[in-house]
Order: sequence, then C-alpha cells, then structure tokens
Amino acid sequence: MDPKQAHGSRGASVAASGPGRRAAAAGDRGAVRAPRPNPGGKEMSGSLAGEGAASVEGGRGAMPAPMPSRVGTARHTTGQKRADEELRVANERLEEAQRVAHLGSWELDPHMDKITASAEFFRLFDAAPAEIARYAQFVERLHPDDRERVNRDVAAALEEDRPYDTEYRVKLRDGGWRDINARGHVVTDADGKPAWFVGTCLDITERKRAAEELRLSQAMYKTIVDNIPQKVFVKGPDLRWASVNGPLARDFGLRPEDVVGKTNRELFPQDLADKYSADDQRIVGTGATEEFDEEYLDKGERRFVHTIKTPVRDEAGTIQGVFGMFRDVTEEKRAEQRLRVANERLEEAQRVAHLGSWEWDPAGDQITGSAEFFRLFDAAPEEIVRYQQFVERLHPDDREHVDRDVAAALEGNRSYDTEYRVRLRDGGWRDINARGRLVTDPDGKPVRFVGTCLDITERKRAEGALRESERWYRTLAISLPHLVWTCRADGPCDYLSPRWVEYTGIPESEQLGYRWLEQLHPDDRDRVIAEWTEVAAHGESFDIEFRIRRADGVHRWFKTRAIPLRDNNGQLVKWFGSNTDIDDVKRASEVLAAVNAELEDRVKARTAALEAANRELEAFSYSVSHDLRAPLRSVDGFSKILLQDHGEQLDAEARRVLGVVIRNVQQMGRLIDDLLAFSRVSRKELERQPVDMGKLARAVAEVLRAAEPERAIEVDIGSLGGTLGDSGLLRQVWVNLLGNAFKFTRPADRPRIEIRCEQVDGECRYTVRDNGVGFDPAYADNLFKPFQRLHPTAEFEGTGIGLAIVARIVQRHGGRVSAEGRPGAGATFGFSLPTSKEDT
Amino acid sequence: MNTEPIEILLVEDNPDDVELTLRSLRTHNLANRVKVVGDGVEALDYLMPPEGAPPDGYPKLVLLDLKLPRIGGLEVLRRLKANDPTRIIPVVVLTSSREESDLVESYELGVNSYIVKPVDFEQFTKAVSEVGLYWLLLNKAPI
Repeated sequence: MDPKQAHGSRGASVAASGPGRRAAAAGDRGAVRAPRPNPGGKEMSGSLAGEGAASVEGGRGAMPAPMPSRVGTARHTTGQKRADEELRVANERLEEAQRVAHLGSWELDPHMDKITASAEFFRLFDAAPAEIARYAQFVERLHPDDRERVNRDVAAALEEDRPYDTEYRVKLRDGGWRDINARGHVVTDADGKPAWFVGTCLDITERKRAAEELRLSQAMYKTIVDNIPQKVFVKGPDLRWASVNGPLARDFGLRPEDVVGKTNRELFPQDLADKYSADDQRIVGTGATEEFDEEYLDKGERRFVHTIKTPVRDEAGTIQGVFGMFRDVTEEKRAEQRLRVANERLEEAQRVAHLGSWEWDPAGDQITGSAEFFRLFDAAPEEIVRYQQFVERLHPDDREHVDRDVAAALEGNRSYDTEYRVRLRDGGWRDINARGRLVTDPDGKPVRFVGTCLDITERKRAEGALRESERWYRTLAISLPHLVWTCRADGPCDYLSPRWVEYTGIPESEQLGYRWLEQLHPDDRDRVIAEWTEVAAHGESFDIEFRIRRADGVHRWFKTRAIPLRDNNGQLVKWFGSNTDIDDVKRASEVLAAVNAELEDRVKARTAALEAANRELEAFSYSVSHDLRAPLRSVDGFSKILLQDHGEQLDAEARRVLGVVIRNVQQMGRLIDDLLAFSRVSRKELERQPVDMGKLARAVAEVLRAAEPERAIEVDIGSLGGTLGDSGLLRQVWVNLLGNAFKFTRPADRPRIEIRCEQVDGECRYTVRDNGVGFDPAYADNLFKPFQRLHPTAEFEGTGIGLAIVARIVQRHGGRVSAEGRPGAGATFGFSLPTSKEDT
Repeated sequence: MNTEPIEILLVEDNPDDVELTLRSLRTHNLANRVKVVGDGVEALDYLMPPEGAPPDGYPKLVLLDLKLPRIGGLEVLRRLKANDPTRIIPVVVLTSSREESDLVESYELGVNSYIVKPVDFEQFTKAVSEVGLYWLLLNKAPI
C-alpha cells in the first residue's frame, strides 16, 4: 500500500468532516471514550477490520462481534459466494502483506469505545484481541511517557478532524518496547459526525534504530573530521569546494558553510590555485589517487604540507568530484632537519671523541653501529653483523672475559663496562672501553643491548707509561736507604715509603697528614713545624736536620731534603722529600768536635806552656846576654891588663897560659853570641815581603869575597827568582851557607861555588854546591843541630851554629833543608821554600 | 877634689866594668872628671836633686848601663829625657845587652848612642874611647 495514496484519500474525507471534529474538541475526554456508533463506515475499513476480526476469531475464538455482524449482512447469494471467495483470498493476501510489512490496521468506535484490529495489529502489540478491546486498554500498553501525547493526538483527530500521525512505544511481554508509527483518520457519517476512527500501526522499531545509528554515525563522522589535524575537503563535479572540515575552514578564516561553492582562485593566490586546479582536473580525468608534498608561504613562513587527493565516485562509479586530505608537515620537516643535524653532530662528536655507538639485538643477533664504531673496529659495517664476528675481532686473551661480561649484562646482573683490544688491519691493536646497558620491555625481557665504544689506546699507553714510571719510582723509593715521602702542595703528607714505615714501625696510614710529626724528637718538633710551614708557603727547597724515633724508641738524626715538584705551568703540585740517616756521621762529628775542642784546649795549654817557656828563654837569653858576658869581659879585660901591665914580670910559660885563658874566653864569648843569635832567629817575628833571592845571594857573596880578597873563588849564581819571606833572616841563610862554602873550599885548588834554584812541586829548591872538603854522610843528620861540628875547630873555625840557624829560618818559612856530601868530594846544601803558601 | 864640674857620669853597678871603663877612658885622658854611681836611684839623685841642680854641675855625658839595681837604666833614661834641664844631656847606653827590644826602646826614649860592650877588652877600650872622645871633644853641646 502506498501510504501517500491512503493519506490523500483520508485527507479528503477528513477535510469534509472538519466542523464536527472541532465541536468534539470543545468537549472533554469523555467524548472520546464514548464515541458514537458509525453503522455506515467505509467499506474498505469495514472489510479490512471484518476480515481481520474473523481471522483473529478463528485463531483465538474470543473476538467481539460488531464486525462479523456487518460482514454477515452481505453474505446471501451464489454470486455473492464467489465474491466472498475472492474477498477471502484478498483478505489473506492483505493479511500476508500486513505481516510482511509489520503493518497492522485498526478501527475505533468513538461511541462504543470499542477497538477492532487486524491480526498484525495484535502481533505488534504482543497481545490477544481481548486484551485490547477498549481504548483504555490500548493506552495502558503504551510507554507512560507517550500516553498523554497519544491521548492528545487522538482527541485532536476526533474532535478537530486533525490527521492522526503519531509515534509511541508499546510494552512487550518480555519487557521490551516496540516503536510504532500510528496513522489514522476519522470517518464521518452523512451528518458530518465522526462514525469511525480507522488507521494503521507500523512497526518502526528498525527504522528508529537505523535512524539513531545514522545520526550517531554522522555525528561521529563530523566529530572525527572536525577534530583530526588533517584538513579534509571535497570538491564537486565542477571542482568548486563542496565541503571542508572545521580545521580547514579555520585556516581560511571562514565558517565551513562559507567555503562551500568557492573556487580555488577565490581561496588561494593565483599560482597555487592554478596548480591545485590542474591537480584536480588530472585526478578527475585519470581517476587515480595522488599524493603531493607541497610547500607555500604563510605570513612569510615556509610551510610544508602532505596532500592526498582521490576521485569521488557515485554508486555507478562515475567520478563526481575530488576528495582531498592534507596535513601540515612543517614541524615534522623541521624535526627531521633537526634530527639530521643532530645526527651529523653526533657522528662528528663520535669521530672527534673516538667514541662509537652500537646496538645489538640479542634475539636476532644483529649488530648495528655508528660510523665511528666501525672506524674503531677498522671494519666495514657488513663485516660486523653478528656477535661472533665481533668477538673474532677481539684479542684472543680478551674474548673470554668479554663473553662473560656480555652474558652477565644480558642476565641483568650488572651493567656492561669492559675493556678489550681490537685487531686492526695492519696487525696492530686498539684498546677499547665498551659500556652498555640492556633495554628490556615492560615484562623485563631483553629487547636491545645498546652502548658505546671508546678508543682508550692513548690512555692505556699513558697509563702504562705512568705505571712504569710509578713502578720505577716506587722501586727507587724502596731500594734507597733513605726514607722517602711526598706531601701535597699545601703541606700534608700523602706518601711514606716502606723504609719509613719499616724504620718507625708504624703503618703508613697512621702517619699520613701531619701525624708523622709524632715520630720526631720532641726537642726538634716545633722547629721542624715552623720551618716546614714557612717553606711550604713559599715553595722553596727545604733542608733541615732532625731526629726521628725508630721502632725501638731510639732517636736517630736525619738530614731531610724536600724539593717542590711543579707541573708544566710552574704550579706547585707536590713535595718530594728524602731523609738520610746521618746519625753516625752526626755522632762522629760530635766526637770529632769534642776531640777538636780537647785538642784545642791542649794546644792552648801547650801554647801557654810554650809561651811561658819562651818567656823563660827570653829571660834566660837576657841573662846570658848581659850577665854571662860581663864576667867574661872582666876575665878578658883583666887578663889583658895583667899582660899589659905585668907582662915583663911573667916568664914565657906564664904568658902562654894566660894566652890560652884569653883565647877560651873569646871562644866562649862567640858561643854566647851565637847562642843568642840562634835564640833570636827562633823568637823573632817574621816580616814577610817580596825578596829577590838572586840579588840577596850576590850581595852576600860580594861581602864574603871582599873579606878574603886574596882568594880566587868562582861563584856561579843561576837564576834564583823571588820569594816571599823575611829579608833579614833569608839574608842570614845566604850568609851562613855561602860562608860555609867559602870556609870549606879553602883547601881546594880552584874553589867553585854553584848556586841554583829549581821549581818543583810548588816550591823553590835552592842549592849551594861547593867543591870543598865535603863531609861524611853518616853524620849528615847532625849537621843542622846547634853546636854540632864535623870538623875540628883548629882546622875550620866556628861554633857549629850556622847550619842550625839556617835550618831554623827555613823551617820558620815552611821549608826544608838538606845536605849531601862525601869527604873530599864537596858538599851540596839545599833548602826549599814554598812558592805560594803562607806559613807559620 | 877640684871644683871643676864633672864631665862624665858613669852609671854602672859592676865594679869590674867600672874599672875597665875608667881604664879605657883613662887611656885617652878622658877619666879626669868622671863620677861613678852604682844604681839608678843614685844616678837620679845626682842628676835631679831636690834643690834643683847637681852640686857638681851637669855632666857633659852620661854612660848608662841598663841592668841596674833598684831603678833600671831604661827608667833612668826615660826620666832624664822627660826632665827639662837633663833632657839635653847626651846619654850613651853602654850595656852587655844585645836585645833588640832594649835597643829600640832606648832610641825611642831619646838615647844618643847605644853601645854593646864587647867581651874583647881591646874592642871594649876602643868603643869606650871613641864614645868619650866624640861626645866630650867633638860634639858641640848646646850648653
């Protein structure tokens, strides 16, 4: 059935019955509940209801009677029978149609308040016909929220002749609800009064649900489209803009509806618009989906977009426009750019730092690494893909511990931090410090093993050199007999050698800082602290002596020397010190000092004694000089007076005897004079001055030659040079030596005296050689002793003091004397004088 | 005793030396007016009496031994040379001492001659005579 046609015919009828409805509307609800009977109702509605009622009756057997009574009035002829039969078939078809269409039909008697309806109606109401016999029963089955509205609509239809078209929900037996669209109209009688109220009920539950779903779906679609970051648009067949989502409209600064109908040129600058239009036309032409990476300037800023355009087809597949979607990828582009720069920097940093990074997927056994990683391994990326390839490049000695470290890290026991050597192509090795950590998924399962490799070859080498150097110095510190230590630049001690520990018997740890001071002798401590504080402040070398307590409690003296060690900038970094045991030296020098002091005391005592002796000798000499000479003079004088005054009275023998007396007195006078001379030579203070020895010797030789002018003596004086000495005393030396030479050459036929000087070992050796009588070398030692003579006085005059005086003068000048000779073969007397040395 | 002033004052404690000296002087007739005193005290008593001038006048020459009892010769010399009237009297030290210190000190005190008495008598006589002759006859005294 076409609802429109039904509606139209009913509409005509309703219009005709308008005034009656309005009258009814003025009444109360009671008018509806008590509708007037309408015997002359529409044949269609009547037949429909009758057939329905019959059917229901047949099915359920409890149908009220009004409709069969009306149908029954027409059942009475053969022709009628055939017609009935046709009617029955038609009714069955109708019923089938109603069932399929979920469309029930009903009639309401406004007066009797009686409802008659088709089987489908009751099926829709999930009720037996008896349960909805009256209008009130019908209303009770509606959803409570719908009842009032339905009452209103029914009243409006009956009393105001309004078309009845409403929706309500019907309660089902299972507690559910069924949506119903009910339509109907009032059939009026000849007087224009309502006779029947007829209509249909259509099950619209499905439609309702579909409509709701559609509404939700559309709302969802709109929400999505308006909220995705992508800009979405549709252009119609004429390529004008047909729809845009919110974000795109906002970009245009327009409402979505204002964009509709616009062309590209109205929305974009010409060049862009033309480009877009060309794209659109191409897509419409080819029917292919295209993607574009496009850029444009937005307020001077370069923006990048990624666009997808695809043709829009109708159900027939005909292209009806273009669907487009694009998104701003400027930030992505920038992020990409930043990432690329960051990667480049990272790579550069790794290269500079010799730091490679790597990643290992333990499950897939796949290694990836940075460029620097492979450079460190001196390998191409494809050469190290699997773990085993990595291990094969390690030094054989390192493989085992690396395996162990990796395994431990994989088990999550500890972080991966290891060192190994990598074989290079040239056969060399590179030291690597590898660190890594295991990345796990939330369940703790290993996902990746990531880390770094650092080239530590240089560091290793430096460490090796440092270790070697340290080992060297430690060995030195241990092997030296000294106690070695180091202190920090600001003073506290940070190292004491095993020697120190061994000596003091106290562990190093208990002496560091300033606690080593406790081992110092209490008398030395304050002095050392003061000096050390002073020196540490100025960074100068430090030399000091103090006593350190040995393990057995004995304090021994040490000489300590500290040197400041400076770094390349001259900054003081450390003090290096050594203590040398000088206790034995110290004690020896103390003993020596004591001995020296004692010696000095003794020398002083001796000197005092000697001075006393000298004074006595002086007094003695004075006495000799004065007191011994006076009696001699008297003896001599009075002997001579005796000879002069009484010589004639004495006989020859008496005069001879007197002569002997006088001669001996005079000899004694000479002895005394010589003795005094010798004494003077010993006591006289030396007056040192430059002396020309040649000149002195020649002068003396002349005097002696003049004393004996009759003798032809050859005196040969060589170059004698000069010396430093007491000129008077040195003259006496020449007088005595040359005097002897003159004297003892008297018997010689051709007396010759040779004087020479020789420079030997820092001294001048003077010699006086003669060809005189010589002497017996057996007695040479006696020659230089006072009053020792090798020749009889009768043969050669003299007292024997001359050579003793020579020896004394030479000794006082710091020299030595010597004598060589043989009897009859001449003699050589020598003396030496130091050339440069001062003497006593 | 004549009233003529003495010419030589001999200060000598050894009588033997006095005799030998006088004999030497006598050889040259120089011993006529010689006064002999035996020690320093006597010498000073004579030359610097409390009353002012010596009763027999100042001698033309003093022969002075150094080793004297009581006051020594050097002290006598010092006092004579420190005293105005006696300062100009020639003093000859006639001594046995060959000590240089004696000699140096004597000259420092203003001695006019220093003679070491020889042991040999002839030489002694000669030395004494020469000194006497020089200072008494040849030397023109300021007085």
